Amino acid sequence: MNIGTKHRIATGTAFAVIGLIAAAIGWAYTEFEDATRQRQQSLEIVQRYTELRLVSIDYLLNRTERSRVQWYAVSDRIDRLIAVNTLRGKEYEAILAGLRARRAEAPRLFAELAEALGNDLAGAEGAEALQRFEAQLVNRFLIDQQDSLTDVFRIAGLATERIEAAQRRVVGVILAGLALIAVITGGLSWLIRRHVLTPIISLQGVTREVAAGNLNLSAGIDRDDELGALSRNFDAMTQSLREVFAQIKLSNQDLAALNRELEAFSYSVSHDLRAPLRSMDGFSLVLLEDYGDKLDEEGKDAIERIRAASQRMGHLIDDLLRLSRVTRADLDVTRVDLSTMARSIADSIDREPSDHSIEWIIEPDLSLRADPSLMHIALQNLLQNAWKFSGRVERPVIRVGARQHDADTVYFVADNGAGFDMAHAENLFGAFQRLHHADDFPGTGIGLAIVQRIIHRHGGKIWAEAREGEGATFFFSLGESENGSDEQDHPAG
Amino acid sequence: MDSNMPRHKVRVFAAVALVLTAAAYLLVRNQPAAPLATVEKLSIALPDVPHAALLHIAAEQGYFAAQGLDLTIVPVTHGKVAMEQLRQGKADLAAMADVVFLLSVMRGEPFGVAASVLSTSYEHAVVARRDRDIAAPRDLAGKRVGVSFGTSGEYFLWAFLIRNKLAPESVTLVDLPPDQIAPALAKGSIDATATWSPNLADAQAALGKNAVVFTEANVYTLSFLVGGRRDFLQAHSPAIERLLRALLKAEQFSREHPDEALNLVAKRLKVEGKTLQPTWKSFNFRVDLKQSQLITLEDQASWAMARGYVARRPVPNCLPHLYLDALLAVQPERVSVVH
Repeated sequence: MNIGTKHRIATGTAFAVIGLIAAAIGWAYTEFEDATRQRQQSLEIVQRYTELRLVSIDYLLNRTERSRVQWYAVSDRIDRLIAVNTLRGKEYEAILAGLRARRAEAPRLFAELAEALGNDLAGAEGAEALQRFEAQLVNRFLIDQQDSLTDVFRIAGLATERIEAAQRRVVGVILAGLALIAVITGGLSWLIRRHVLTPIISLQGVTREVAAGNLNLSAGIDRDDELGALSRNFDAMTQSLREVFAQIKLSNQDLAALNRELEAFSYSVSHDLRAPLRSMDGFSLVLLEDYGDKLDEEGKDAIERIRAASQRMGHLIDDLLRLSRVTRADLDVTRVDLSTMARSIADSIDREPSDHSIEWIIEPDLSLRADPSLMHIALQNLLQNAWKFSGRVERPVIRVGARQHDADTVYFVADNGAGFDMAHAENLFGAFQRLHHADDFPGTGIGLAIVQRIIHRHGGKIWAEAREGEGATFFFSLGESENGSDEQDHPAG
Repeated sequence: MDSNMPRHKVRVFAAVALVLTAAAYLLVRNQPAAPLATVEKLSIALPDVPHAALLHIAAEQGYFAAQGLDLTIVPVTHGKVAMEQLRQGKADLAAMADVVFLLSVMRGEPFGVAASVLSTSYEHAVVARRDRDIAAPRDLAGKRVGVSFGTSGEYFLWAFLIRNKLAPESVTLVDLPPDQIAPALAKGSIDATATWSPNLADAQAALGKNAVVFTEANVYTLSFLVGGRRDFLQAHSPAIERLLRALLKAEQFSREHPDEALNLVAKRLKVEGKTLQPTWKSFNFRVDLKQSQLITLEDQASWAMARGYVARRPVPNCLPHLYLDALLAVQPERVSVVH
């Protein structure tokens, strides 16, 4: 049975129990109301009998027509009241039967009494017997009324007992209902724990283990409900993950082998290319120095071009090697004082012979977590880049600073130099990509590619904003490496 | 409790236990208390008559023992004998008709009533010989009427005559033991009799079609009483209360199981159930002490003085002879005597 069905059964049962309890309370309360009504009726009968006794004594003492009429009037009301059975039970019925029997006799007794009381017995024959008769009638009359009143009080008592019984029943029903609810709640709690919570806790433990990397665990909940289906799906998912990870592992191994081969190849090629380049440059120089007087100007220019081209190719190879090192180098993340680092680089730039003077505005106390060597390379490239592209403005200014962007600290290097067209911004960080002509701004076009790789190695991102002729700003943030504590190494390290 | 039991289970069990305990408490708190550990000893002279049915039922059903009473029953034939046993100190208590008790009180004997266990207005009747020109109650004047002197039968005849405006002295009373009445009526030595069941049926059967029966429910409501010495009743109030509780239980049984009660009493009295059937329906088995009983006793006192059983004097105050305390302690609503 699935959990949905169990839920519907449990809900239905709970509502049925509540309905049952409500019906029982309603029934008990109806009993209570009936008993209360009966008690009120009983008390009314008591009142009428009290009135009857009052007018009876009145009549015995005064023998007035008024009291006689009242006696019959109240008798009539009593007869109507006791004509209806308002209670159940043998005791009540026996009492009521006695009351009715006495009431049936009462008019005859009263009539005889009225007649007897009207006789003048003084000196009459058989006066003593008549006096005894009269006394007997009066006694009987009073006894009947006393007995009737006692019986009516008993009926009131029975009604009171019924009220008390109904009250006890209400309390009993409520308590039984509460006990039933408690038992059902306990049962439901047990069922939920056994059939829902326990499997979920088990599944939670397995997911935690899987999240921690242990893909060999399986939930193994063999049940015919939603949790069983969830468990089976989860096990199928971990099985798929195991297969995918095994595939990735194999691919990674292949990839790593390929990378190693490629790096070895690149390194070998770079080294192997240097030798002929050095030969070309060296022999070109020999040619110029030893045979320069035999060459015309055009020949010398050709040889100079050969030398420049071979030296440029040498620089390209150096840059390729640097890019390769940046990619392969291990990260050693620690707290880096970016302001001091920028100031140091700026000073070294300033010391180089140049025909333009830069105004450096470097915010103090810039600090981040990064590999110091790589960060130095990145910052040097950015500052040299800024220096290079602001060489043609009258008052070049280079700023280094930071600002908050959401939760991240974004660092920037800005210049007021040549800037660039943002339409070509996507080519900015490609290796050997250039947005300006080499004659205007010399360089190999590898610098920003190196910066981007360093920032990416730190898990960060880099982007630029610029306008042609108004300067460029390079922004970068370091993501997770920046947010780590000083004591921790970079996760990728 | 298992210390490893999960906390939620403990809470659930605790809640369930709490609710069930409360329910059990509320359900049992109105139950009567268990019998006391101590056992009280009593003896009672108990007539073998259906009027004492509640006592027989309580004895048969073990209600006395359940109340912690070790009750010794002294069986007797009828109420007068029971009173004699009491008088002689052979029993602590006795059960008898009200007339028997009244005559004892009138003689100055120190007895009191603990409770009435039955009342009936249809127990007595007058059976007369039709061939002696008796067709109506007034025809009894001048006739010989057989009664057992000093019994409820004689008092009924007295009240019956008055009810019919006849002077009690207008008939000639003949004292006969209850079992001699039917033969005497059949033989013709008496013209009529006033007696109670089952002698009534015997008298009627003895005359056959010659019998004429006069009933009068309004003249006498007989009460069957349980009494003892007043000082004994006061000194043994707890025991009397237990006795009354047992009788109340018997009353409940007779009300709820009338047929079973009748058969049980018939068995105790060693008679057929159908023998008791005619009068049984007229019996009102109820443990009480009523004002009307007091009035009846005083009327019986007048009768006793008129009949010369005791010297003429003012009607005595019977109230001190009703021992109300025990029944007031057990079920006060059963006492309607103004006190």
